[in-house]
Amino acid sequence: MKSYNSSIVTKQGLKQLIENILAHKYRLLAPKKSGEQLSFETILRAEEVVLNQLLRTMTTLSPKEVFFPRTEPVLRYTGQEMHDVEPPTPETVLFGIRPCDARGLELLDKVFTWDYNDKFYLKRREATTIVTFACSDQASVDEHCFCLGVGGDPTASSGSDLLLSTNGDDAFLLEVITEKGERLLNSCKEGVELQASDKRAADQLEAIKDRFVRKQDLTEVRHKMPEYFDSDQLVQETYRCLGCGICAMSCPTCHCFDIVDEPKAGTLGEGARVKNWDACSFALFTKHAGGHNPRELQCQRCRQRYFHKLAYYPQKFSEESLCVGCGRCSRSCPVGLDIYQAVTHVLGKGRA
Amino acid sequence: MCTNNIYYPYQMKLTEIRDETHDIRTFKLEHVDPKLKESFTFLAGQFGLYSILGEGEATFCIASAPTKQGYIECSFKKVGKVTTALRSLEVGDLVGFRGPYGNAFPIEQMLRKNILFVGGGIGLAPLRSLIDNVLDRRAEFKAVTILYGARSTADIIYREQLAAWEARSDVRFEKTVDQLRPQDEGKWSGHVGLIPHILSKMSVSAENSVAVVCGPPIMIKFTIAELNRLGFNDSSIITTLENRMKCGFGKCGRCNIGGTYVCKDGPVFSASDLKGLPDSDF
Amino acid sequence: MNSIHEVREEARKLLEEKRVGMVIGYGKGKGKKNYPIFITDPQKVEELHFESDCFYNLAVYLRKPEVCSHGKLAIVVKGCDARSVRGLFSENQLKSEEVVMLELKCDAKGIGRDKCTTCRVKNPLTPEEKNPIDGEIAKILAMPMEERFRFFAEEFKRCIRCYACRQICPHCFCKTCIVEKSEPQWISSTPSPLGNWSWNFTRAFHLIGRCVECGECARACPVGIRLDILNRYLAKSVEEKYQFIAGMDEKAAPPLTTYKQNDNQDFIR
Repeated sequence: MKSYNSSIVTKQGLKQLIENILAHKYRLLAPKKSGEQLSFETILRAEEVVLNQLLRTMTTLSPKEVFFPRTEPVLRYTGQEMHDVEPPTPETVLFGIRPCDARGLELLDKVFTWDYNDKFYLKRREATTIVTFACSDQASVDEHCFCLGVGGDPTASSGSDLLLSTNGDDAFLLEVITEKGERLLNSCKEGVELQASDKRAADQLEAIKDRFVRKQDLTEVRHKMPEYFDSDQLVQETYRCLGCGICAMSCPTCHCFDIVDEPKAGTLGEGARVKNWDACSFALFTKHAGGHNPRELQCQRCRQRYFHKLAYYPQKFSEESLCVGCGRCSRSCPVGLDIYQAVTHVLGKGRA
Repeated sequence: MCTNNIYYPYQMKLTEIRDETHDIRTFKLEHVDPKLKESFTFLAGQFGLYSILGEGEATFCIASAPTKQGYIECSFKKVGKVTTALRSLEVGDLVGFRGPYGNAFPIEQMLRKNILFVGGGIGLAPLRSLIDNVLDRRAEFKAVTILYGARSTADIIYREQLAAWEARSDVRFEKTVDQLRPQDEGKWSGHVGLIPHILSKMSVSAENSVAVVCGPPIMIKFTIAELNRLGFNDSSIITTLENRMKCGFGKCGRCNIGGTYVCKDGPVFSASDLKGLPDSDF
Repeated sequence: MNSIHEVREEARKLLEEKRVGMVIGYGKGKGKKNYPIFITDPQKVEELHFESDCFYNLAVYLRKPEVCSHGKLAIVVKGCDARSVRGLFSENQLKSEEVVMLELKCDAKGIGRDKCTTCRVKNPLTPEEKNPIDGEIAKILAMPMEERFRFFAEEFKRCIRCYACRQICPHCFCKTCIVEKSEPQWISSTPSPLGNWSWNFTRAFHLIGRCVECGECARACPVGIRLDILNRYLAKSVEEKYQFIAGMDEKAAPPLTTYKQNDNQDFIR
């Protein structure tokens, strides 16, 4: 993927671009505050997109739900009759995800295309153009962010179609990353003043990197996995885990799911087979119907999640970690568990 | 039929029901679509997801041999919601089937070798597919030995099949029960004792041999140890795992043992594969 | 106890004399924040801390198998956690001789949503008079039924079924949660409006007269569902109808878990 071109756009110009996206009948999804939550919602009016907020706060749940919903039907049935289901795929613009999220989607692509193509995920991916907000603002990075430790980069373009970064107080640098991005821009740029620029967002990177308090490299784990597998230190670090699924469900790359049949309320013999989010932290996740559970203890379940991210996925699919360092799991963990802290402590101690 | 939805099952018709024990039942299933009935193929060791609309899916291996064309069989124990619902079906009812999934027994690597089959309880189901496959191509293999064990005489499955194997002159067949119930006294012609113990007394040779083991995890564990003692190295011991699964094709993340997906990298593994797994009990 | 120093001293004694196998408390770990910690070595009691961010209800760990395997336990409790422990005694989930409570006066303030501002037991066993959530409840009660329905529908719509509310609750001790029972499937496990509605309401109903209003469920909820309002309303109803406050008396079983001949039965028609 090459960088096509970059230009400077003012805040006003960006607002115009959003107006145009809406005017062109794209479905626009962007972070929006509802109650105390920032989440990806359908935007109906341009002013619902609050740029400052978007730059500073990360959504509680990741944008994976746009492609891999918490629940979705994979087939419907009426009595003995089955009906195929197509995922709803309106032309969509996903606006304001972070570079870590965009990278997460590329990692998920590998899972959902591994020998068997999951059309529910892939059709949504095809129909969606991704406009990423680079973590280019000083306030974009908080104490939980650690993308640098898992091979990420706060201004990376990988996985994005268009990339926006702040450029001074009132302007943004807009980079076209893919043809898809270019198509979106071409169809929506009327009235948007674009001033050609040869700047790269990467120029600001060094300053942003200094904002990170978490920079230790976690990818080392995969090379020493057998050594760390039985680490007492890891057991200690995860002892307080209570086994809820917040970490997996807020994660941009956790993709475990359950398949259940869901009868339709108020009908007899009608319903759908649905794919629901699931989590390896749940005690029942691996429990056999016969009672045996290969992962009996909560610390084993935590280890599964950490190592799936940092060792198993790289071993299976690519050299990259499945963890993108967004920090959502540690921001939301009700008992303050923290994959970065746990793993760096294990790396520090080895087999304690 | 639907070609691009990986979650969409084939429809199969239940054509025969056999009760193996009080809680294990065998289904014979045939594709409703005549073309599929003709073209459907699988390999011994592969598995599928069987479903009833409104109840859900359950994973079992295919228990019939790929050489028996036109149908598949599966055996299941009543343990949960789906298996309970499956038990309520009658001949002529429809069953959803997704598959075949997973790798298979490396039958081509077993050619011209002695083969020792060791099955425990319902673990005979995946073995049966391979045993029949091997017996249907009998001339391509050397000595065939089958050791089958069940908890008691009441827990023995595939009785007719066992009798047929026992009757063959080109198969050595041994059977055992863990314990003999009082009512079986004088009526049981097999051994009494746990599989690894009986195996230790069978004087089998590890020379040019492959052992295929299937049963409950604890039985596999001790049988592998006994086979090692008899001189089988880990790469010539083959087994098959049954972890909890939902999708069957490497997406749902449930069956992983470390970086290994039982559904796609397995379910058939050699003992040396198993011993390399991080969570391994073996 | 009056200070963390006294708690440390007592914890050390308990561990040294092997009267308990583990002390559950708050500690700093390696970060600045306090987390639940678990001490088995008397040399390490100095790791126990108690500051204004010690908002966790540690009583939930009394049912974690890894913790229980240590035998008798000591636990650092604030007012709300102490209510939980007494509640567990009253429901025969724990025996009072198996747990040593190291009770501290709490000065936590305003952590999570209203978690501590609504506290009525900062000073253990001295119920304060007014609960700030009651004002919000009054507003909801004043709504017409359809509007009330919409309010909760909007709340539950966000539920992702992470079950953090259940996992963090000391009183959700069922061995198999009703949502995990599949024969029959009482509650849909799908995060759909219907499933979410039945899950959240059923859990609230199961906690009537047992919830000690520690607020952990609302604090843990990653999508900010107002479970505190729901649970407070039900606790308040029990208080009004049965003059019962959960977790105040370790001998008093919750009214809805007991049956008396003269119970009001005119709701059965």
